Amino acid sequence: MEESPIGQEGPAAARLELGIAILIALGAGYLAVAMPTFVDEGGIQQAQDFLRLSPVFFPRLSFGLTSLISIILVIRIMKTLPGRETRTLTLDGKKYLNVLIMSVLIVIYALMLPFFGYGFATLLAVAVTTYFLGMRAWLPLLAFSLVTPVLTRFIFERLLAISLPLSRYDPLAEFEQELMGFLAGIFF
Amino acid sequence: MFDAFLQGFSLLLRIDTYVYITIGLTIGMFVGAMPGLTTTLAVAVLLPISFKLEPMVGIPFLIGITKGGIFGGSISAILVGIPGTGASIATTFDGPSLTRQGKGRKALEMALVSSVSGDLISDIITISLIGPIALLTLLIGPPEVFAIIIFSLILISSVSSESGIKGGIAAFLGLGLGFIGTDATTGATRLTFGLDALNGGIPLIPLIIGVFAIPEILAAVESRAARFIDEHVDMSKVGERLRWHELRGSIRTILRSTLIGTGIGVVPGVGQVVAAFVGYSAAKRASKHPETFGKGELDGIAGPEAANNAVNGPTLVPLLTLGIPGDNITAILLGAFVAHGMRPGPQIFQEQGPLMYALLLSFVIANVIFLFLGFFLIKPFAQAMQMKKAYLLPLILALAFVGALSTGDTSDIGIMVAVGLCSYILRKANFDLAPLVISFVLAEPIEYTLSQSLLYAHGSPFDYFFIGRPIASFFLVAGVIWIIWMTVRNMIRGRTSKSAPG
Repeated sequence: MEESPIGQEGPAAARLELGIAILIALGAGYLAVAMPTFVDEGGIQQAQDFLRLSPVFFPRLSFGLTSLISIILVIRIMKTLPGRETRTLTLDGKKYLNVLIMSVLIVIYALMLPFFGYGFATLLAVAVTTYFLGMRAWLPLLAFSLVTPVLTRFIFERLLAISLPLSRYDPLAEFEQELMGFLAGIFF
Repeated sequence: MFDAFLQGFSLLLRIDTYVYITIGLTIGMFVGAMPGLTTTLAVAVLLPISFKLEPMVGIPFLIGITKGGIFGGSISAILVGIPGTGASIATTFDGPSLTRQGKGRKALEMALVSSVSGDLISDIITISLIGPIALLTLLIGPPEVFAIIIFSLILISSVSSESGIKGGIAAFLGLGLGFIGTDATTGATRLTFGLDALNGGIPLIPLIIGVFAIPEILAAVESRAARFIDEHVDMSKVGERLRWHELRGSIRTILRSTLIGTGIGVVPGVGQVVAAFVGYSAAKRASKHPETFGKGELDGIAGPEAANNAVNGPTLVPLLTLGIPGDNITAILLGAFVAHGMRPGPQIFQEQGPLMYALLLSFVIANVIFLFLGFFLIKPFAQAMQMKKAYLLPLILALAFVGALSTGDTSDIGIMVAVGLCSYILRKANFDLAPLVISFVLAEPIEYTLSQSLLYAHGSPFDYFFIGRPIASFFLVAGVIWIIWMTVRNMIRGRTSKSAPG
């Protein structure tokens, strides 16, 4: 659980740490100050009084200390930030482009789920991710993309009773249910 | 307490517990052998499966994954010098040298026997001590529980980062996330930002999967290498099996490391990585030929492997008796206990004594299964290390989504993705997220115990804590001293590094 010393991984990492520390300090500070406005119902009058036990007390204490420690971290990073001559941003572009693409794929997968249901969204997500990760042989790619959602749905829904969402479009939902019924008929 | 122990045996008479332990051990060893994947990831993603099983089956399943995962990490550490998990870093000091000398199989079997022995002995020590400790915890009240939780969080935060600052920030962020939703003491909803989905707070499963699975998937695609390990492992050249006289020569090392791991396991936040290093250096110091360490010494495998697995049992002591998880895995286990309607803490051995003992005894039996399974699975998992990312990562992604969907609310997918992306950024900025998860699960107990303590204090909290409750004051003062010591140590280190030449 050891972290690397600040700036050891270069100025880019130190700048990322600094940015995050500033963001947390400002965000937590704002939440600590404005905490009474974030209580939806009850106790707001008492919440104005810091020492009273109210829904505001603990979050305000927690966010206040978060902000304070983050400011200490900001000062510490500022002191150790490498000199001006090394302040060019040297992020490995290709490395983080892959991460960005994968992040977008994950977000799209999450957005597709309510519309296409677990089965078809997973089929598409697995196919695209497998292709993105370098699989170019179409037959294994197709087989893996088909088997993964069917197998996971069957195991989790039929064997472990974990309900997975169906598509909003009836034909897709019916097809998926019929397929699961067919598999269940084989195994049970 | 002894009656509960005896009754626990009767709950062990079911085959499904052992079937799921075997499945858990197999999955754990497989994931542990993959250098890009962690045991925590496997436990987090498969947590929902345990919810759908009975506690006597679901929790041993998760424990099986943990035990198998820690050993699995040593497979790649020994054969190719790449640790599968953090706990097996110390194993890389001697493992690859032994493989190069044609003693890879001996090293793997030594790792297996040491892991199983360390785990087994520490589990037996845990079972022997947990009953009396549970009785002692019944004597303490909310102020003491609050003080021990705070002390534990300080320890966990301080060991999670070099200065302790980032660990502290992560811990407070976790508390902040834990405060979202309905306040347990007043019933008011807070920090929901108008989103109905947050009225009940951030659900534990999407948070755990977001923190542990999504960042690992993203970290794995940073490199476009098709596999986690490119080196080809020729299992026909790993040599002979471990001989009895070689094992006998390492028994003292195994026992010493087991005691080290057991001691370290009780302390929240320290964990397997530290235990493995301490076990290795203790083995080296005690050896009659320390010069052979680092050049292919079987004791160099036995030391860290016995120590890191010996941590498993004792980490359950603070979890079960006080409800305080000491690391990522026990934080997830706490979630599993809560999902099964059990809240670990001082009362759990009174309320569910036979079940608790049955669970602990099943962990002992899991070690026996682990030994036999390990001998059969070393070879296939050594070859499975070269499995393509193109198959593994999409499968993990699909399982992560199933896990988040297991709560029955599709909006939890959004929480998992948001938490996952933020966690990746925090990890890139060298924040350890263990304190975040642990403090998230402890937010409610902290608020509840402090509220109760302040009510009992009748307006004089200082007198109440520091005069009326000596145990609570001891832990609070110890926490403050620890923070002061960490600060002074960092200042001295800072000055020393500045004054050092170059």
